[in-house]
Amino acid sequence: MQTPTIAGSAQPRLARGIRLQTDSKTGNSVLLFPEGVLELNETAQDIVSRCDGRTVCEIIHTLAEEYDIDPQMLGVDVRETLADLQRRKLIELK
Amino acid sequence: MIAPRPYALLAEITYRCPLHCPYCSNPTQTGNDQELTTDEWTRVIREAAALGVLQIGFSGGEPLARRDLPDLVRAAREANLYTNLITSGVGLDDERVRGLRDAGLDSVQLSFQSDKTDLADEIAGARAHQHKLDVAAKVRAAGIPLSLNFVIHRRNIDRLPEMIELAESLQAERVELANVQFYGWAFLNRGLCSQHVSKLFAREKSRQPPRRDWPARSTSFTCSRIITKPGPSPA
Repeated sequence: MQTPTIAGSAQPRLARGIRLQTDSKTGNSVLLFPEGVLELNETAQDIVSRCDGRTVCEIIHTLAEEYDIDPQMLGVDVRETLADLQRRKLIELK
Repeated sequence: MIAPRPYALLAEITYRCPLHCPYCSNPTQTGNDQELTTDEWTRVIREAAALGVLQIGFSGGEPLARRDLPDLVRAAREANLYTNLITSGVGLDDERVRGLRDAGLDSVQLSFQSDKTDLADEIAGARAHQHKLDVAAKVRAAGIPLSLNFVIHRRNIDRLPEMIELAESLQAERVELANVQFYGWAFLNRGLCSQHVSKLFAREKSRQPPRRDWPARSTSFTCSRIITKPGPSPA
């Protein structure tokens, strides 16, 4: 699969009206939006919870440090996740 | 085995409504005194949250017919629910928009009958289209996310591209195209909703009692509901 072209300087943020919260039933994070719920797995949660004004580069580097993974490899996954969330209009890239 | 879990509660808090759409899925026989009270709804909302519900849609009827709507929105937000108002927009002015936003309303889903004023008002049985356009702007101005909802039937299906354009021009985040649900009035009118277009708007007198408690601004709306003998089953 081709890596989505998302600039390292882009700043992903939750789109208007989208809420990130903890599901008290499971303890997992969920994204809430009109007529929908998206359950996030642990890694998606790690990415989404950092969509707070940080750049894509910064997100990749903090996660690479935490998980002790090569930023190059991790960057592909992070960009794919962000592209997916953007397609669903749950995040915006600025 | 994991028990199935509900994610959303559709709260039909009233069956009162100023519009008279033939495809309405409201029950045809209701009493206004049968609505749950504010306290009862607050309890239901808490119980729903305890079951795992994450979203609530305030619907009806027209949920704005209830003056305690901001209290219910607040109760839902306190229970950590995502709150969506499913409305015709009738009864929504600047003050009520602000009140609902301050109560924590997450999103508004505004119904439209068509992109054209005359057709929309004909379907709704009320002069509501222009008001809905104004409401969309007010919701936008208040910074609340906006979805548009169109129930699609043979009277408006050929306007689909224009209806989507309307959603774009009103800067809605989402647009929902819904099928007629053949319950209640829609079932009674099923012959009209699905067939016999020319007879669709042959109005007969309403069997519904006058709605005394509706805000004064809506008293100019015509109060007729299409009632016909059940037609043939939809194909």
